[in-house]
Amino acid sequence: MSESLLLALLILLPGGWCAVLGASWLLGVRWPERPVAQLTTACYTAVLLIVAALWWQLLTSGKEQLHALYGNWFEVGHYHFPLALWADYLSLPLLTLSALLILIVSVFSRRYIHRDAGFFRFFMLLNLFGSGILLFFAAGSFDLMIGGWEIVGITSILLVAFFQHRDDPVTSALRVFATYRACDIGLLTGVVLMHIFVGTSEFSQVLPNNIEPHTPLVGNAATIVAILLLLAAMGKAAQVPFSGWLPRAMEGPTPSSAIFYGALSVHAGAYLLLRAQPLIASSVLVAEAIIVIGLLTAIHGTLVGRTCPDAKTGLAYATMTQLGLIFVEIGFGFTRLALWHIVGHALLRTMQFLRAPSLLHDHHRVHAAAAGHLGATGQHFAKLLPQTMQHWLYRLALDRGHHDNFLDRFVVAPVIRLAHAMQRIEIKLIGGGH
Amino acid sequence: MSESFTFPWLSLSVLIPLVASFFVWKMNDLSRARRSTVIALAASLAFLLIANFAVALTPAAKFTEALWQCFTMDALNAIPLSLFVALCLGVAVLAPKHNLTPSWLAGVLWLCATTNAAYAANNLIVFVLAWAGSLAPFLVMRFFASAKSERTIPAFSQLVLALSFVSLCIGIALLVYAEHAAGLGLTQARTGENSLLFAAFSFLMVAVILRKGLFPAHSWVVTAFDKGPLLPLVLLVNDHLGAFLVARIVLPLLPDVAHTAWPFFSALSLLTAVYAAVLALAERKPRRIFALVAISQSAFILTGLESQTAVGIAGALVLWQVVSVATTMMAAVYAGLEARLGASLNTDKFMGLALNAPRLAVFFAVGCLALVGLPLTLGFPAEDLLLQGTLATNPYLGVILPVVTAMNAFSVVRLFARIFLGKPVAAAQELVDALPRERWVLTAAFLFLLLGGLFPSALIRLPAIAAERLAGKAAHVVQTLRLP
Repeated sequence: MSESLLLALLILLPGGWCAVLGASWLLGVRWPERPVAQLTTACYTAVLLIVAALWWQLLTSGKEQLHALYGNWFEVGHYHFPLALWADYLSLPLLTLSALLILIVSVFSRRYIHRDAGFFRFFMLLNLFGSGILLFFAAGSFDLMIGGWEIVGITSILLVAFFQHRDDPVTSALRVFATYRACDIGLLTGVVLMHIFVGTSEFSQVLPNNIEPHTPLVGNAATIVAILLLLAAMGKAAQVPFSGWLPRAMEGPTPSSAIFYGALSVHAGAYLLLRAQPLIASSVLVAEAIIVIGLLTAIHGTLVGRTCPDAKTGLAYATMTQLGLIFVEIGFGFTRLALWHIVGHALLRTMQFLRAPSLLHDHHRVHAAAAGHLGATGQHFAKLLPQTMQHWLYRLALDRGHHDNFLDRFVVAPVIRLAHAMQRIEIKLIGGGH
Repeated sequence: MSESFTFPWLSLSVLIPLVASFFVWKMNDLSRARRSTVIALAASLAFLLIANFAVALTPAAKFTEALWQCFTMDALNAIPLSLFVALCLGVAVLAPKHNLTPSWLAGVLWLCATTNAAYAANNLIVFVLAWAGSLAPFLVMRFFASAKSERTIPAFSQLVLALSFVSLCIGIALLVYAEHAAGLGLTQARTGENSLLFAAFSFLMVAVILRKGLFPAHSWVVTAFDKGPLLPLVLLVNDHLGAFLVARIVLPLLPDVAHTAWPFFSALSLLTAVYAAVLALAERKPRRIFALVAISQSAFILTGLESQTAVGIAGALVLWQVVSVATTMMAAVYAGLEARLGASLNTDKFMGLALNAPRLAVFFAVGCLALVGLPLTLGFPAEDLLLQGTLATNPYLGVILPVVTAMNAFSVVRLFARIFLGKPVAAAQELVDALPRERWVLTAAFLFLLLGGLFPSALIRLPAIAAERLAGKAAHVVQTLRLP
């Protein structure tokens, strides 16, 4: 099969299956649990085979990337939105990872979500997420990446609010949504600026490759675009100070926490930076900013993670720590290391998240195997610090670095105060209505 | 290029709902009145779709009726004409029985006929009369008043709407008086140093500001949504006649004055978008949130038109379609919920209505997401075009559009969450989900937004041609008159 067809099928299979599920629901067709889960598993098995075929084509062709252009999605005058897909040594490992992990999660969820009222909804959203993340990793332009990025964001929020009959998950989902939308401003503006500066956002023309040998986006233009992409990546990857949403996102069901916040969604930000690496490499300022943000996040994650009372929140902070380190690697330009760090971390963290519901059971088993002699761990470095600093850090960690308070007080509250002041003025001027 | 319709498709699409409105008004049987309304609107839509097909085949042409020269159809008004009739049809089917009367349905028919006449107008007098006609149900004829409902349009909103009409009349009168030779047609541009033309432009733009609810005249929309009948008001706001006045009359007839004054109006549109978005963040009442978000997103339509670039204008015209369908869909769902629960919803706490009304929740959510430009919906290409087209002429928009859209997105998603998610209130236990008539109409709107998002070319083609024509004219005037 041609690479164009393979790349298209990669997105269309999960997207089409999600559309079938959605249409069935709208028409009132009720599917039993088993075929929904089995067909989802079959769908991602097929996707995995397609990815294997793409690997084969890439390795045997000797090319740097497989590139498919399907024409323009829409066009007006000189402006067009190209439908271009792309698979190279950066995107293929992540496409493989996505297909594999969604396949595993679909098998796991069949029993975990069994008889839950939201079983059908969960699988529909899982497939929507699958098509979104595959589109994001296989996109051949930053324009198309926005599509995948936003689909991942919205499914993430819908799954955080999965247990919709309780107020807390819904409140958490709103917080996640607000953070995502605020940071997505960076991606939208960055991509529009690419069009202004170089007239396109296609990788083949913005980034260096064997189709177009050098990047036309350089100097201050590259710095501005890279800063905006960094803002977007910080939101999705829960970097300081936008980290407060990640523990809140644990309100969702465990399989979605595993696939979104242990494996794929949180790494989307890192992938965005890896994809834009030539822009980052051309700006020392941005590279340094990424290193500093990554280091601060890693320290924050490891400190707060030590004070978390529940397993999933602890894992969320452990994820944050690793993401911080991945950012540091990207900042230093160790792209290959960062890529394998993402793959290894996603696999490990998915396993840990999926085991989280059995944590006590596992602990008892290990405890019994050690004949009741399990010692405390993780105190080695803490002991090197003075007692007062330990207490201060403990308080800081308990309040999660005051990040949420900081954002609430200095970003959210002034906007809301302004809105209320404007509302009061309106009431005074025209009266009534409130 | 000029073509003509040998059959009066446009006149019939206006006359059928107009005549039907008189008959429906006199009916006593509500279900017969609703059936008659639906048949009249469906016939009008069918005629317009046939005419639309002709325009789609020859998009560069301007079609005028052979019978008389009053109405015209081209790439600019083809989609708005059909879309507005489809919206009226949808509202007529969806309107809850709770407050429905034959006169209410007659009002929808009247609004449809007069708004279509304004879209299709081929001269200034027809446009002014149609504009007045579209306001009549809200100002003088009490179509939407009902013995069962206390909801009426506030006097303040009526005053603003009346002022918009007065301003339009003065503007048109000055325009005609300034250049007698140009006549009442909508083709010949009026250019040159003439203070009367500038005055005409100013009055026309005041009419636009008042009708569209741009800052500082936005309050009439918010107050009317809060106190008045929601669905007719959504139709009134979604006719976007203010934006159409700019695209059909101000841009082509007063190109040089418009070119000079655009920065001010563009800034005013952006201010409106920001102001309404910030106000929506503090707002608790669902009806007022609808109004503020609709005002905020609609303000970008004017910004796109004022960009004078083909991409920006096309973005504005596509956003017009998105805002119209999405807000009508959301308002219809909300009106249905109000009718079921018997009062305005109190969204201070989560209501959890999705428990028994998951389909209504999904329709509402899709409307929300399309309105704020999420991918997989038509809102995404609309905002992409708008952003790409306007950034070159208005760099502030590059920052303001994503920020405002993010704020609006938060407001509507929070509203969705408050209404449909969380711990269910007692009333949620017995709530009825979408009725069959609601399901089909809302599914059609859902498919329009979704399929439009997946295959946007079909819905962008005609706006793109209209946009290129408008931008071409603007560029020609700038070159000819050597404007800065």
